[in-house]
Amino acid sequence: MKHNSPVTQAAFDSLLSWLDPDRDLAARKYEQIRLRLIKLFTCRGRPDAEDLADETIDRVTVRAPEVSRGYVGDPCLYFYGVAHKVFLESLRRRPPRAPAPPPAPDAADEEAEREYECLERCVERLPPEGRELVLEYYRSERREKIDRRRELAARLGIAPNALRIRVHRLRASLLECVRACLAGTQPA
Amino acid sequence: MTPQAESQREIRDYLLGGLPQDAQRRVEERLLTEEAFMDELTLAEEELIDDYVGERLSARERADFERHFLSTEERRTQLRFARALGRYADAAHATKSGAPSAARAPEATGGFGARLRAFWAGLSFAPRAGLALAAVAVVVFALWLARPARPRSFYALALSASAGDRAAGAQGVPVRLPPDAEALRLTLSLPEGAGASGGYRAELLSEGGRPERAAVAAHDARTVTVVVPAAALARGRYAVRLFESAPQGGERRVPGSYFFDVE
Repeated sequence: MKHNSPVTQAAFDSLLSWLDPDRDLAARKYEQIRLRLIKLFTCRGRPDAEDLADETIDRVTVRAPEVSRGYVGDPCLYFYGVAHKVFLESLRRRPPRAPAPPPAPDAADEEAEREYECLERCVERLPPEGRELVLEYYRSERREKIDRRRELAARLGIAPNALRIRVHRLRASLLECVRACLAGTQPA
Repeated sequence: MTPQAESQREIRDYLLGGLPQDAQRRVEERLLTEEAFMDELTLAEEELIDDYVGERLSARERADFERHFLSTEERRTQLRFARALGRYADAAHATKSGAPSAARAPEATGGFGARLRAFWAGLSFAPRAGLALAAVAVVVFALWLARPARPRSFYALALSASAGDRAAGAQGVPVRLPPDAEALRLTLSLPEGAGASGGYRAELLSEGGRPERAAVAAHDARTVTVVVPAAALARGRYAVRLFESAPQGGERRVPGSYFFDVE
């Protein structure tokens, strides 16, 4: 709950009870809903996705004591309805602008430099099998990529979808590591 | 199309902003209510970015990607990351494939190869020797023709590695190439801790361009000499990156870059 929001403690408690009678589970659901709303607004092209997600949650929270009593179904769908209204209002307040051109493929700029160096450090921190997997998976051969990934999955004895998920997790940890490195908060 | 493939297609269209309203609503409701859907969507985002980087999108998809998908800073960050990851993986692979290849030889077929072997087996010694000598002569001549022309006049420049952050003092060294210089010879001082490697690879980066391989002419414990043909240098800023062979295989980036500005 944000300090400058119009939400009262009673309303917030009411929202959590609506999400789940168990307070811990309710708090988890609250966080999940927030992340999903951010994703939704991002997918709709809003650069202020986090603010819009918070605004949606605030509005739902204010109405929770009243709405939760008579509402039937998954509360997430109620959030969805409110999010749609918040989105439309945001379009009126701040119409979408033409996006900036995509970043150049490989500029000799210092940001790309630093990012590459951080990536090298982060890849070295992966366990050897994870490192091998990432390097093999992301080689950029255009035509053979699908076959090569299928072969890779077969070699590892897993389904192609399981391979996607495994690589996705490695990539997410790499991205997190690179962000920490760029922010200078990475442990030595 | 299988239901899974259909769902993936729909998610991809959603990410590109190309779904009709009712389908968009269906996808977004799943996003809000289904536990695993968020992961599926995130995976699809990554694959879409990879396909953009790998130039596997159609012209239409590419335009939608740039117009709709890249509209947030978070996704632009992910795009830069995907590019760096692809380049890193390619560089690691290039180093590996410098070792003896384990690729399978193509299997013999009964086509041209078999006919050639049958023809060869049917010849007596004299025609075989004549043909073999002629083949050797052709190969030697072709190699002589294809030999790289060595530049005869250089513009020499010595550079030290700079940290990536130019705000901390890393400036490009100005270079004014004389008209008769055929190449730029860069003597790159290795930073502390580097220099024990058996081999180096160099990459030349121009502003807004893709990294190009640059020829490493020599190296010792303190320096690496890189030669760049003058014809490859237009006016602008350049950076050279060095990679050294790692003892356990693969390669390691030599810290820092070497900046210069062609005037």
